[in-house]
Amino acid sequence: MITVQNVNKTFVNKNQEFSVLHDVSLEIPEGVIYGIIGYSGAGKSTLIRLFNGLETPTSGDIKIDGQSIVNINKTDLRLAQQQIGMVFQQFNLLASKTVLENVALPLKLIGVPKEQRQKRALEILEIVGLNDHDNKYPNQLSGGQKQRVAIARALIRNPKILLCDEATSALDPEATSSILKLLAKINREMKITIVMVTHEMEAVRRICQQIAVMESGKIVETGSVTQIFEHPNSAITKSIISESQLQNDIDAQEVLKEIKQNATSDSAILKLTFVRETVRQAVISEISREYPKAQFSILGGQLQPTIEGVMGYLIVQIQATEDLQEQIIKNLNTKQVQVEVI
Amino acid sequence: MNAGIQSYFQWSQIDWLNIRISTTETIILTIGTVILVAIIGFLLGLVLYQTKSSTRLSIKIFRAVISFFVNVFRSIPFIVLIVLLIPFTKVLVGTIIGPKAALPALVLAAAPFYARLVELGFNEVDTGALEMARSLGATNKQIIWRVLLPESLPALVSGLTVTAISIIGYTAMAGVIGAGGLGNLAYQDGFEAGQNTVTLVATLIILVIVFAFQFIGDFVVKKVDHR
Repeated sequence: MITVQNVNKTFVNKNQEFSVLHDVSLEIPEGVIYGIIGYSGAGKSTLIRLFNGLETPTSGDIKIDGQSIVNINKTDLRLAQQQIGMVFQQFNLLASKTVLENVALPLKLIGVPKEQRQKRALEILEIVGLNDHDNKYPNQLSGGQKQRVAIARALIRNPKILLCDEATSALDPEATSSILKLLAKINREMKITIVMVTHEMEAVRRICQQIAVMESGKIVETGSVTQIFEHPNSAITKSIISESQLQNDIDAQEVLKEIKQNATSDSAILKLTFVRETVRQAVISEISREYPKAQFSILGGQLQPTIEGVMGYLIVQIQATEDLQEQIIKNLNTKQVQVEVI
Repeated sequence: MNAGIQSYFQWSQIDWLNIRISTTETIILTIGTVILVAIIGFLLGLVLYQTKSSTRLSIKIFRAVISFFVNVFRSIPFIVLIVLLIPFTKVLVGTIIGPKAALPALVLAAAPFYARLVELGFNEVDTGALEMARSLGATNKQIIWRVLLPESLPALVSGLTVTAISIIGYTAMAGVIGAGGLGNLAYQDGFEAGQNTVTLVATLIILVIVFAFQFIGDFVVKKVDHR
């Protein structure tokens, strides 16, 4: 378990102070995939760098399984770092070393004999699906393969925690998907706690169980993925969620805008979010039977798998008096559907 | 005109034994200097790199001093540097003539030059790779030997090739004032004795040596560069 207690971090640059983290407290339970999401500059990368001693907090404490990694001497920090692997956005492989040497580097640093570390490196390469690439150099690999090598390197010392700093942000959608699947598999089969920092809600939604949302150095919201998607409290979370859902259909947004412009007061556009069981319920046909005076037209929708089940949303236009509209929204709420008027 | 050209082809002037001795002297002096310069330049470059972002005043001053000397010795024309260093050379190696006497000036001229190239090479190393090593708990020594050195090796080797070629030029200049080698041969047996053929042959051999160093350097860079 990672415990962050009242952490502040200030950088000094040219005699000017920049506060990057304000009073951040967080608990990351063992065994989960924990997402830390926010726009760039929110302080999430700085936060994750505190977990393995790459940065030290200006004040506050960070504990891993009850042991502080802030008030610690260098030798103990090195021991703690052996328990924590890290994967970076730009992979950070050594161009001068082969895949095998890159993966074996963490063991070389702690003096494991060559034969042993190479044997272990080959085992790990198989786990990440890169057998037969051990003698290649990083520049002969694709981005997704490079990140697999980096993951193998992070895993070779059997860490308890894997930190991912924008691990999929430099990858194309296909490679992103395969890396996310690999991370989920690592979490499941090797029982490694994964903390991933990202600005992509999509990545968090697909594999994380819990999320913290960050904005300007503060944690604004924490909770399970379904909680946060169902009931986002802060404006920033809402904006990150809707961005991720609509980013692929800019066309749809244009159409929506047009419909909204032409809409009269007796019509409304609703975004209905369905979580878990409600996805499979015939909510729309039920409601249209209950309110025969209202007209429903479906403008669009999407289904998204998450680690806790399927989640989906529908964009629906209703033609009804304002009175009736209110009744319908209330009724939908009782059916466990989250309604947002667009 | 014709006579002038013909003066370059008087093969009877050539004492091949002498040429062999001079060539060996030049090669040995060059290789010896390159080795010393590689070691001293590497260490100086490492010091410049490591002290770059320190905020401690004592280290900042230390760096400024080193940096100043590096710039000064890099800037003094080589022929002036040799003359300037004569008293120092006498104390250090006990003589002011011969290949040994040329060494201090050669090293002082070339090591600072190489130090700057080493520093540049280190600066080019991806900071992400260094951060990765720190995240693994690498010690400073491990970061230098396991990350910084291998990652900058192509730059270090090509920098050393450039430096070595400058050094060949310097050894020829040092030869003029008695350090032996092909420069000495071209000046004394060639110019002073009016034997243009000797000068031509010495020039050609120097060219061959330069090309050989360039070829070896390029070959090694190709071997170690996997970017």
